[in-house]
Amino acid sequence: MLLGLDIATWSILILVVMVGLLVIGVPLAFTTGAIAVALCLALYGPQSLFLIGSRTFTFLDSYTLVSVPFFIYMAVILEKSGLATELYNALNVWAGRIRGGLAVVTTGVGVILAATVGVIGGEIVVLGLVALPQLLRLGYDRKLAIGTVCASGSLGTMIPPSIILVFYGITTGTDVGDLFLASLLPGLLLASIYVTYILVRCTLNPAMGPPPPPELLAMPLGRKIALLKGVALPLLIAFSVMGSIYLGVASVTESAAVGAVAVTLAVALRGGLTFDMIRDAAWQTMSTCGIVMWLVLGTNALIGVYNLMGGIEFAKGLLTGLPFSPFAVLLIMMAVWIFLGFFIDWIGIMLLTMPIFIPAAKAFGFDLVWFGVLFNICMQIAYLSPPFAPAAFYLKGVAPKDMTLDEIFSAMWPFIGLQIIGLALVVWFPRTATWLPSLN
Amino acid sequence: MTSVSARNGWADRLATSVGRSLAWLFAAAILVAAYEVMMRYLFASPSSWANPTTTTLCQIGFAMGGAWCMVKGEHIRITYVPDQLSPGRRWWVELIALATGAFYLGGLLYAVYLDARAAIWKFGFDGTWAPERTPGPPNLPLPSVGKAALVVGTALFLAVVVSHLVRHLRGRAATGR
Repeated sequence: MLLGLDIATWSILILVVMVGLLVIGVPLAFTTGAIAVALCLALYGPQSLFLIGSRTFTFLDSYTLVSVPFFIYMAVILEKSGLATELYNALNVWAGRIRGGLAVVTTGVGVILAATVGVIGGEIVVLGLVALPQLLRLGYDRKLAIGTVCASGSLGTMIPPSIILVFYGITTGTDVGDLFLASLLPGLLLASIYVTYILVRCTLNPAMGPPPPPELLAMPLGRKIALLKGVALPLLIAFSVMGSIYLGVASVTESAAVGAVAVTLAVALRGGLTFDMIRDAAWQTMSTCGIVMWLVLGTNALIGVYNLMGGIEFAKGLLTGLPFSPFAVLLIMMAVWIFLGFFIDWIGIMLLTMPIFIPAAKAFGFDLVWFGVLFNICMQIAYLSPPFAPAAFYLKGVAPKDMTLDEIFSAMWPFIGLQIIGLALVVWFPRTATWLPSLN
Repeated sequence: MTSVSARNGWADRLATSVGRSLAWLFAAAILVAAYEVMMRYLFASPSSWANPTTTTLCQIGFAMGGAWCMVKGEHIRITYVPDQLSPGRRWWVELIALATGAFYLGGLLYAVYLDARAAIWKFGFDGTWAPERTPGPPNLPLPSVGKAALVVGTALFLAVVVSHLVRHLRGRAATGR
């Protein structure tokens, strides 16, 4: 069978060729796809390419998948609208005299923005443009400021909506609404861990988090309350997206459509909507989808062929046959996610590992919703972990000139530690993830 | 893809204008989906055509996006090793990258063509053309449209990659190395 080689040998061959091509800079979308085509031709003949063709269309023929461009469109409009700046200005006046107060506010803004967007990037850019300069001007510890902006800005995919969870749901056949609900408390947990860390560090060393400028402290209460209208629109948008999902009324795609229209209307009502803004959002949506979908198509093809070869069954046997407890295997899986996060994107990690991990996770009886939340937290770590740290690169694009990538990288480590604490808590207390969906 | 994205070939220009104009399909899809939500939840009169139409509009966008991202050099790749190489060696790894892409997209084009042909080249008992339609109402031939778009999008992507490949090889010949 299989040209005289067993599946173990083929698996190693595939892995070696894949790593080899990736390392020399072949795009991930081409690498996996080309291996799939080559395997089809070598093992089953040209007509077997039909398998790849029909799998490709089947993947794209999903109403849930449609929510992805909608969430991307929403995020672009929000980023360009200035709503985030207003939100920050509304909340930073409440920082008060608490040491580190403004960093805490930054985390809070990150959480609210995360509830309106399902991607990362835009949020870090916005916080980097709005919050970071103010933190630095007040004399905050630079690393604390950078880490706060990157970690809070990354919550975009942790606190629902989240395109990571949409893809996880489609890949694994898990309900995306349940995943959204499940990820909410762990997302808030991460944010509270960040806040605790900021307060502890700034209490121990008050120089790390100086108080806000006098004019903010002296602002009369009436004006502070008036500024709060800047919170209203983002909250309304967050509710229009998530409310219907939490209530179990609408599908994820319907909610995303409502959110996209709500954001556009909100920006129009403020008087800031331009044709260029909508056009840029449409173009950005096309671009991002072009990258992500074609990445998925290549990997999807490879998984189809590998499964036909008996590879998935083989890999599942390998994982379930390990001489460790299911819990130890879970730790290994998470270690693989975190390790891969140093080098590749979340979507690559998901596509490469899930087809192998999910059958094993099912065999062990893991709750797939909880498993998805654990994956999502590991991707929070992946955003921050150098050298492939998307959060760092987004921030670098808007950071002051004197801020080097090395400085940004070094600011990440404490926050990666905090994320690992959060991950451990959700591993130990699965109810943090499974409780909300169980109410539905 | 940094060094392979000089934008001057006809394929690049075509992919760019297709990408830019069809990006509006996503905006259209949002409007259709939001309209359906309004009709379904406010006026209790859901349609059968809105969801499959939304899906197909997005499919066309997904299909055409790959070629445009190739022109813009946006497909995710790890550039750490190529960046360390001498220009001569980098030329070779670029060649491998483009050739791998052309091989994959060539195979994929045949694959999606087989799938689209099976969907579109269908006839009823009386010989009338009967392309694949949505399984339930509205019975529009949307799957056939989506599959055809996938063929066109893959062909466009392949054209861009092959044109980059040709330019890459010509560049070598021109510098005489």
